[in-house]
Amino acid sequence: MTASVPKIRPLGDTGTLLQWEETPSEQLLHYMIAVKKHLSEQLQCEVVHTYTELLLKKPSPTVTASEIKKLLETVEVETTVRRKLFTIPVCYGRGYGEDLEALALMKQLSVKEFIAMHTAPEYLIYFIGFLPGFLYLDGLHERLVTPRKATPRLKVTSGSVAIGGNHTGIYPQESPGGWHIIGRTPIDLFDVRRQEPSPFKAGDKIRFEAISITTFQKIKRQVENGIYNYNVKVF
Amino acid sequence: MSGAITILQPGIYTTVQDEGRRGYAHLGVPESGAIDKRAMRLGNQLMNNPEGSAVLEITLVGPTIRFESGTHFVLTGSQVTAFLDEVAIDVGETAFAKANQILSIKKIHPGIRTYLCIAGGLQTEKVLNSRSYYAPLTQATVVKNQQITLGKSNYGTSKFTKVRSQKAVTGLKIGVATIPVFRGPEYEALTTAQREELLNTIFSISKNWNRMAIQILEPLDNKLKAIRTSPVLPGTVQLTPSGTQIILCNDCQTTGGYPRILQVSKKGMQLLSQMGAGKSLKWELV
Repeated sequence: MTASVPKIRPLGDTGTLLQWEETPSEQLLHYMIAVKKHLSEQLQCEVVHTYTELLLKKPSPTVTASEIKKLLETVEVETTVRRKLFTIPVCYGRGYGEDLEALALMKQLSVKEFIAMHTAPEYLIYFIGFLPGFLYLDGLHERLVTPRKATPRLKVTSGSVAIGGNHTGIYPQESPGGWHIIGRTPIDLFDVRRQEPSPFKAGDKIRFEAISITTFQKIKRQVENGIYNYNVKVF
Repeated sequence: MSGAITILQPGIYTTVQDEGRRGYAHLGVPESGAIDKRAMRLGNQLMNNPEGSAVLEITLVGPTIRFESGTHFVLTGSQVTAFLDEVAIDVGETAFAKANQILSIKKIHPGIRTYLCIAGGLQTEKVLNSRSYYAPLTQATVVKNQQITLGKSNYGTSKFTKVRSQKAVTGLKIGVATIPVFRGPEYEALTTAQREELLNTIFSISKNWNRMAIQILEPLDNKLKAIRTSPVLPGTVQLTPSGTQIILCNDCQTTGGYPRILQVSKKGMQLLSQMGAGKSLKWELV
């Protein structure tokens, strides 16, 4: 796929922004990932991307818009990239997801139907931002879209799985949060002791799998003892 | 044997900082690092420390520290009242503390941040290639009875120790500070009236300021909606739906959903590094 030529503009004296006008899509994401790789190698600078923007962070060589445009001509989207599908175990409700029942009631769904709708999709990881290891996921079922809570909670437990607006996500650390909490995963999303603190990459996918409290506790122990292995399929 | 210091009292908000975390923004990890970079760098030069050595960033009211070994040190950044045992210590004055001497750092004034730079640098644990504190990757602040190991001192082995000490004080403008800014990505979305208000108003810093962000007290009249989550940097000025301007600082998140109306220049961020609640500022487009 060839995306349109982005608008290139400085972000003050600390960065350069590339902005695409397209609607976010998996194709655009794959192209942006390829651009990110190419530019970070060619310009030796840190690159951050979101839905339709890519930021080159200084310190980097002083590079002009026309030089960037020239570099964009040599971007190649690899069609053979092996992406990963992670299965994330989640214990829904039962004291781990305090908003689940109220939310199901609001959507006129049984708790079982609600969980089925949340575990059905393969969610696309667009990028990591907000907090260390927080995944921006796409693919939430329309019926589950819910505005954020009017008053955020001061403390959301790490591993909480939540819905806010048309997003679903997992809190990688304990933090304040305004999303509706529907469950919790026992796995660690971000661990600085690992070579790669986050195993997830933009372009990978995840799906949620409902587990019992017993399984939750079993996996939690494996995580604590450093013997948990992610359930990953390459596609 | 390497030296050490012990924190007897932590002060209001004292953290270990260095040049910050580079290369992890794509994982959502903030830059962190010293806010008054100039003060930290000068302090390290005065101590002849390797570039990027870790120092203590002290906010508003400082800690009480015991030196466990004979050590050179210097205070940089804002002026501050400080004593080594009973002897007053000035900012920019290189001093030598003997083992068991106690450094009491009191009230910081007129700025908000002072840096304690010690010969050899602080050797706290590196997390993702930096010693800068940022919870939850590291502890949030130094704590009572914490002992911090020091690196090997190079003090007195180079000409760099002759940096003029007056420079170690970060000045603070009296009255309204003019902060150089660039137009942000969503600046064009502002109405003409909003732009005029933005560039002609004297704003002041609210009580809500920290290492993550500085909030401006006076709201702008605002009808701009949230944007699709996009990259942000320290220095990005966001405009919330209620019209509050938020100037992002070193510990800010890597992406955000509020319109980015301005981007403060590096020079502007240096000026803001010592400005606390009630200080006045005016934006000036570069």
